[in-house]
Amino acid sequence: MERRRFLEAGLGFGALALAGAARADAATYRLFHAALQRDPALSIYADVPGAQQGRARIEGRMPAGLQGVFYRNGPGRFELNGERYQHWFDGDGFVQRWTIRDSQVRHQGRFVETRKFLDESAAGQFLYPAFGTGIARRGFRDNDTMNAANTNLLPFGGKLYALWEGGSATEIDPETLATAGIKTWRPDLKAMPFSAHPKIDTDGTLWNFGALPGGDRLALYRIGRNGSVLQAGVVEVPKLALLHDFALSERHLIFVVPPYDVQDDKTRSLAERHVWAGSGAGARPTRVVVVAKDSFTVRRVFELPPRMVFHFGNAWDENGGAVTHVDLVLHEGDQLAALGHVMEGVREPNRPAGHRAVRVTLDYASGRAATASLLDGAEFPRVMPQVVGRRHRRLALLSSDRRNPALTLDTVNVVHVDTGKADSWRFGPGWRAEEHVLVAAPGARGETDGWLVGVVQDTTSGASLLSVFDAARVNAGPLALAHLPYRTPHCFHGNFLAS
Amino acid sequence: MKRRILPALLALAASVPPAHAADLTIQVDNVRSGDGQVMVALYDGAATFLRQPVRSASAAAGAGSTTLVVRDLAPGDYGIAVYHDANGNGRMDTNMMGIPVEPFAFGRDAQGTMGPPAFDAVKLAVPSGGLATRVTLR
Repeated sequence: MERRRFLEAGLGFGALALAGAARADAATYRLFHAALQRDPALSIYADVPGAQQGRARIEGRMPAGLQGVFYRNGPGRFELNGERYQHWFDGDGFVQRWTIRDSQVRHQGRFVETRKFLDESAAGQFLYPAFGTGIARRGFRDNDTMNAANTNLLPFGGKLYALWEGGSATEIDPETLATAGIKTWRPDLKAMPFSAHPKIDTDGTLWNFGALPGGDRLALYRIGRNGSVLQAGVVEVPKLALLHDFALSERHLIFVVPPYDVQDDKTRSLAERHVWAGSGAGARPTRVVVVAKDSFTVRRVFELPPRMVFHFGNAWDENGGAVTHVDLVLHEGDQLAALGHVMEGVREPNRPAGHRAVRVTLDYASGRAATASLLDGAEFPRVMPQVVGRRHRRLALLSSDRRNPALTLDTVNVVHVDTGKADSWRFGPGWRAEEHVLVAAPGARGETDGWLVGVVQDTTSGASLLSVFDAARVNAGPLALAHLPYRTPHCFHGNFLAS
Repeated sequence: MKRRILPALLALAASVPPAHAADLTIQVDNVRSGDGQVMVALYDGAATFLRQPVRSASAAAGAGSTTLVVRDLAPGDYGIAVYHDANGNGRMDTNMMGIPVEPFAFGRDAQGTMGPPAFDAVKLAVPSGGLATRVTLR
């Protein structure tokens, strides 16, 4: 009798269970604001008060062929009532659009009006758990109550989605950036984790995954351009930790599971409960889990030395799928915890060898994973949209120049992955690059036939800029810089929609 | 850690109401449609909460608000759990991660933090004269 299963509320929630008591993070607030006085460059981690709208001043020449909207998302509010979040991933999503039309650039930005944002704004204080801050002042229904919608902004099938990774996508009006609400792709997928790094395949369909750290179920989705769910399922992967991104090839979905033990200590935040298991006596390897696209089954698990992974560039199959090449950025050690320090105003030391872009080659017959270095000090890898899941020869990356005393992503690069040669440009002192994406020119014939487009924060003037490079000649410097008269929140990720 | 509810409904149906029995009236708000049924379970202690109800009831869902009456209860503390079985399949549906996809509520509108609230947070004292209460589905 099914009624016997009446009310299983809470079943499966253990992975995200959090503390009953609110944390005092007034200390984080004080530390950050004291550090900001000494180091104005930390302003990129400060709050913005609200919606923004402005016109940019163009320096240089905006290419005539570059027309469209650059959608971006990142955390814009870290503080309420004298308290400050303890992790960069915690802030409320602030979505932005940079409109490039007829060589002019306009900018708009506004907060995503999530349930969390509205409830906490009304209460005048943080109420719900964030990834790295264990606040639990008010009970809540499920993971979407704490959805910060702060990680990516994806145009897809004529709609626009603000993405988080522990819950649903949030639909946003592509013109006004007003919040439409939580997106449920199918009724039985309500409140499912839906990662912030979907990939659009060459046939125009969207692939994505969802995972709850500490669990062992990896959800997979394939969604058509009309929003219909073409495929959804779960594969069992033991000891899942934070999975932020993945790659797809023609036949495979490639995941990398870093070695963390996710503790069940309900007095701490989810970030704090990630205990690095990649060093010491019982060190575990990093696992590369390859799933077959057609069957949603694990094809093979490979092992790498213990490394943390956030972002993938691309993957492609060779020899009829006997080998898969994956370009991604590997971090040494517990980089997850390190990303919390900036909230206190503590800058990370520059360790270019500590996070490098690599090519991992997976051989299914032998089970061997070989690694070759592409670029040191790197992060935020992207490829041209038309080569996603297919052989690519260029990889766009940010990097921190090795002369920087502290980690500062001040350099943009397009790396020729076959030769390892980087075409690079370093911005001036006090400038900090955000993710740059490759945008194809109309009728593009190759991966350098287009532009490298991104946002840069000029912390010396407290203003933000859109930067445009020729993808074939990055070292010539920006073709155009579009200067805003104000600072925008530092974003995590974005996507360009050509008009 | 899956919590199973074992209501033993047949045994309950045959049980004899105690003396000085009270009626508990539960108004369930935020019923999003008139589809299916609104289901209620009552628990009399932390040890059996969400495992073994002492009583259960159901009513055809009425969009907006649905009222259920549980009659002839022995006076005492009860924890209320409610869900809207909108598709009428007799169970509370969950997604692939085990998170409920149908609306639910607990007594005193208590909410948990990624999981159900504790019995102490949801319990209501039902006196011999009976009690009327409201919960809001979420």
